[in-house]
Amino acid sequence: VGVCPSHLVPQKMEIAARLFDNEAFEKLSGMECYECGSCTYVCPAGRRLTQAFKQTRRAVLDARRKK
Amino acid sequence: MSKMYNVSASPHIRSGVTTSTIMRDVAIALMPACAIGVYQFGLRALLILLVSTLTCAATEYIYLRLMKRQQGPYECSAIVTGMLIGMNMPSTVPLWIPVVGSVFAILVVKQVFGGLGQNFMNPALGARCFLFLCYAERMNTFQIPQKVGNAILNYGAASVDGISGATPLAALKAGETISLFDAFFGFTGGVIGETSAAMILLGAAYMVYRKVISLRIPLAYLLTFSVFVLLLGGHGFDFYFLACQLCTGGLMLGAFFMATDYVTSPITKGGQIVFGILLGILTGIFRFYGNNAEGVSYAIIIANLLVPLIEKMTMPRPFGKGGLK
Repeated sequence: VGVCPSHLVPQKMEIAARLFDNEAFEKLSGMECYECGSCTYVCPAGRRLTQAFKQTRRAVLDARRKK
Repeated sequence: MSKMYNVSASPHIRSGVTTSTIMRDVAIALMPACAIGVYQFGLRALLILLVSTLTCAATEYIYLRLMKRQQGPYECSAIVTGMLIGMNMPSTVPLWIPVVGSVFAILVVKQVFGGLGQNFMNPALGARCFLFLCYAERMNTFQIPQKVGNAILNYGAASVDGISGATPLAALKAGETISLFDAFFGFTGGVIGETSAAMILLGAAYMVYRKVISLRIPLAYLLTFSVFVLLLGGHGFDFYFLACQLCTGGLMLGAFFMATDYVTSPITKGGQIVFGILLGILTGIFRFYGNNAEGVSYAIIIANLLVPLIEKMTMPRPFGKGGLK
């Protein structure tokens, strides 16, 4: 959390992304992420956070377009 | 082409800090407190520490093999859990007790809930509370350090195996005065790893230097507890009593090594401060208004259970969102 320049919560966003829970991802302000990669750089567990966010943001935008 | 390239979005480089390096640093930080425990309580303490550590590592390995779970590079977290369990044992316990505690910590508290990163409470503390509830008498027989015991009896080192006695915290609760010097450097009775506040602080300083922990939780915890002692401890503004309370029992070990556990503490900065304050209040209540002299482990476990709520309350506001309109 501390490294995110947008004050987001990457840990929780990653869980939402992993579960394909786009609603929760949006609630956590996942669409505000500008994919700087700081969270992925420091993640001690080696998770691919930015990559997951990129994918979920794309899915959210696609869903919006379909509406 | 047998080996495919991994195509993914940036970033492609990572800091060198991994779960293994963090756990290795924690294990190194625990060494001084373990060393003073072995020095004070003899080789029996070393044996307990080895048994608990090896049991934890073996239990995790066997469980992962049986469940056919993917085994990555070994993260040493089971070793840290084992060391903490051993440090929470009196040196008088039979060797099967650390074995039971270690199996409980790894299987029931950690792996059943999904393994590292998913456990809802600190495995070592879960095991400690389990053992205190199941084997209360064995877990509450504390040995006075060999040198102090021999000095009391004046019999010489070979005459007695050990003398059991009250911990300094129990003596404080009974209204007796204790030596702050002994409590700070660990020349007192108690469990193996809790007696020396000085060695725990040395380990904590190493962790802070290596940036493994931040001081937010320990400072909030210790400051809140200090305020509680001064206002509601029943001794007024007695700073000697406060210093004795801070240096005895599991407070230092709990504040720096257990409350700061990444998995079971809040991830938000504000949440960490709330968590520390809650711990200070709960520890004060348990120590001064409970039957038992100690309360750190129960305080941390209860606070662990409240972490999701604390995180929800202290979620940071994203940059540029929800400001003044």
